[in-house]
Amino acid sequence: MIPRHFQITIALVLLAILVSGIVIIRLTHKEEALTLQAAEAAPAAPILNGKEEHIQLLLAYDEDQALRWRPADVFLPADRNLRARETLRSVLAQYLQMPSPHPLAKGADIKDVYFISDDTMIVDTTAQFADGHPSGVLLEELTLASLIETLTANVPGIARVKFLVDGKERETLAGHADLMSFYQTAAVHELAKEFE
Amino acid sequence: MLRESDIDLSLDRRAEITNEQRASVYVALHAGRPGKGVRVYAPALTDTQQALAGRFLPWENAQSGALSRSQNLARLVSEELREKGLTVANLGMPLRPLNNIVAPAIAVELAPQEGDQQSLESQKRQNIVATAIALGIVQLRSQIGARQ
Repeated sequence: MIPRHFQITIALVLLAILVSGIVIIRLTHKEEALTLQAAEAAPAAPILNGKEEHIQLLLAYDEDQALRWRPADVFLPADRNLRARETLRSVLAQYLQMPSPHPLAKGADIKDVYFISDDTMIVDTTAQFADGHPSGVLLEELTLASLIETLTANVPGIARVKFLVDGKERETLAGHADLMSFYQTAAVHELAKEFE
Repeated sequence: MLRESDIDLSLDRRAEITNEQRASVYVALHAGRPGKGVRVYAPALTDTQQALAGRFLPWENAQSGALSRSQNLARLVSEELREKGLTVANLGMPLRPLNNIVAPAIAVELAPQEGDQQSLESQKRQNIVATAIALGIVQLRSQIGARQ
C-alpha cells in the first residue's frame, strides 16, 4: 500500500511536469512567432546583381524655381530596367521626405519601367503620382525634367521617354505638362539647363 | 474666349475649337505657385515626328508650323511685362494644348507676389498683365503684316 502523502507528492510532481511542458511549448511558439515577425519586418537583402553607387540626382527646388544636382548613395541593380526604376525611385524618395524641396503626394512611386526599343523607355507611375501632384505649369515641368535628366545621367542610351499613369496614357500630369508625347531627352536637357 | 465660366473643356477640345475657328493667336492664362513674377511659356515640341504628306499634320506636333512665331510672341510679351516692372521668366515648355494648335500660342502664368495668394486676384496686376499681352500681340501682328 502506497502511503497517502507519497501519492499526493507524485501527483504534484506529475502536475508540475505537465504545467512546465505547457509553458515550454507556449514559449517556443511565441519565440518562433517573434523570430518570423522580425524576419518579415527586416529589410530584405538585395537578391539582385548590383551594387551601391554614388550617383547624382537632379532635384527640383520649388521656392527657387531651380533644378540642382545632388549626390546620393543608391543600390542600383545591374539589369538596365531595374537600374532605371531604382534611379527614378531615388528621386521620388527625396520629394517624399519631410521637409521636401518639391513635395509630392504620398504613394507617388514608379510601378514599372520598360524599353520598347533600345533607346525608348516607358515609365509607368502610380495613380497617386499624378492624382496628387500639385497643379501648375512650372511645378509639373520641374518634376518631369528632374526625373528625365536624372534617368539619362545614370542610365546611358535613353533618347525618348514616355510616362504612363497606372498603366494608362494620361493627357497631362496635373492639368498642364504633356504626358501624351514622347519626351526627347536631348530637348529636356536643354530645358533643364535653363533652371540649373 | 474658349470658356466664359468654369466649365470642363478637355485640352484636345480647346485645341480643336481654336483650330476650327482659325484663331490668330492662342493665349492660355494660368495662376499659381511657386516663385514670383510672371512666367511666359512658348511651346516646345518634344517629339520630332515628321509631318505627314499633304495637308495633314500630326496632332502632337500641329504647332510646328507656328513655333517660331509663338517663340517671338512669348519674347514680345515678356519684354512688355518687363517694361511694366514685373519679374519675368521666358521659357519653352511642352504644354498641352499649345502643341496641338496651328496658330501662334503661348501660356502666361502669374505667380503670387512674395507668397501672397491674394495678389493673384489684384485687379491692378491683372490689368497690367493683360495690357502687356495685348501689346505683345499687336507687335506680333504688325511684324507679320510688315513682312507680307
